[in-house]
Amino acid sequence: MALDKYARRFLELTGASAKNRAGEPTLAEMRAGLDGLAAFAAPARGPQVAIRDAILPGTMIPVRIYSPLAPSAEILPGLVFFHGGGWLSGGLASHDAICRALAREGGCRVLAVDYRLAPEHRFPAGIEDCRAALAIIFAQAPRFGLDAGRIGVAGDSAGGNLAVVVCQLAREGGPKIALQALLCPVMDALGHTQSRRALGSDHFLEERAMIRYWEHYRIDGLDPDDPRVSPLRASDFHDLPPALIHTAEYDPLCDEGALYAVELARAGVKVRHCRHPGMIHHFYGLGGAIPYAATAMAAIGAEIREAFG
Amino acid sequence: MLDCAALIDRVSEVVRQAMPERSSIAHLAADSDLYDAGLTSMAMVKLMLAVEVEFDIAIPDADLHPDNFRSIAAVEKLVVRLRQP
Repeated sequence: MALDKYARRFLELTGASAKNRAGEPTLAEMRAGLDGLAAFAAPARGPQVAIRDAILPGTMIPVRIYSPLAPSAEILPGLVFFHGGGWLSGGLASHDAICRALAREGGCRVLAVDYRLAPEHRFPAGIEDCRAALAIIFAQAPRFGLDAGRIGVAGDSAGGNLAVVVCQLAREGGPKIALQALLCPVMDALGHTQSRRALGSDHFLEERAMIRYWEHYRIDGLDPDDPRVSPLRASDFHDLPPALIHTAEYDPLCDEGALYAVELARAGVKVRHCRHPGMIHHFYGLGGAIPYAATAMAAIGAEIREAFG
Repeated sequence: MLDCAALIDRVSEVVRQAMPERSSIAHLAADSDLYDAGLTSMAMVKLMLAVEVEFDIAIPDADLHPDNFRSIAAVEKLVVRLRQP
C-alpha cells in the first residue's frame, strides 16, 4: 500500500522544518524533539483516565499510573510500560497520550516507568530500572490494584526493546509476565534488514539517528549483537510471554518486528503481529496529524483486553 | 474576503496554539522571532499543519520554508498570498 496521505504530509512538513537545522541535532535537541511530538497526539476522547504519580517503594524510580474509569474494578490487569526514545530521550510526558490511550482502550492499568536514560546512564542502567520496577510491581500487585496473574509489559520503539529484553531475562527466576505488547520495537541495535536499508532516510526514524542512539547507549566491549541490546539475536525464544506485535509498513524497524513474530511462532509462543499498512514509525503517537492512529489504538486496545481475558 | 484585523488575530491564535508549552507567548508581537520565543522544529510542523487546516490551504513545497513561519507577520503574509485566487 502507498504511504498514508496524512503520514506523507507529516513527513514532508518534518523534512521542511528541518531545513533550518545546521548539522546534527544535539542531545538536548533530540530530547526536545521527542517531547515536541507529544503535541501531535490525538485529542483525548471517550471516558477519561485517572492518573497518579508515585515513586516505586524502595527505589528512586518514578512511575505514572493510569487507571481506566471503565471498568472501574479495584483489581485490574496491568501493563508496565517502557517509553521509546532511543534509550536517551522521552519520559512520562512524551508518552502520556499513548499511555492514556492504552489504559482507556485496553481496559487495564498502565504503569509507565521513568527509567534512567543514556548517555548519563548507559547500558544496562535502563534495563536494571525496568527489571526492578517490574519486580516491585509484581511483588506488590494488590497495592497497585493489579491482578498479579495478569501483568504484562509494553513498550514502543526502544521501549519495546527494553520490554523484550526484560521478558527474556525474566525466564531465569523472574516474574511470570502475562503479555508483551510491542509497538514498532527496536529488536536489533544495528539491524541490517531490508526495511532498515530501504527506509533509513526521510521516513521519520533516520538510520543515522539509530546509530547515534546506539553510540550513546553502548559501553566499551558491548557487542551490538548481544541479546540484551538486540533481543532478536537471542538463541532461544521458548517460554516467552504471549506477544502482540505492531509494526508499520514504512518504518525502518518493520522487518525486525516481523522477524521477532516469526521466531516466537517457531518457538510455540502465542503471537499476533499486525503490520499497519501505509504507516510510519511512531504513528500511534501522532493521532493529531494521522487520523488512522486512533483507529489503530482502538484495535490494539481490543487485542489487549482479549489477551487479558 | 477576510478583513486584515480578523486574519492577524486568527494567525496569532494558531501560532500561540502551536508554540511549545514552556515558550514565551505572553508578549508575542507580530514581528517577534518565533525561534527566539521557543519555536522548535516539531512545533513548526504543528504550526504548518495547523495553518493548512485553519485556512483550508495546501502549502506548496516551495513555501514550506522556515522563513515563512518565523513570525506571526510572516505566516500572515503567506496565508494572504496563498488565499489569492
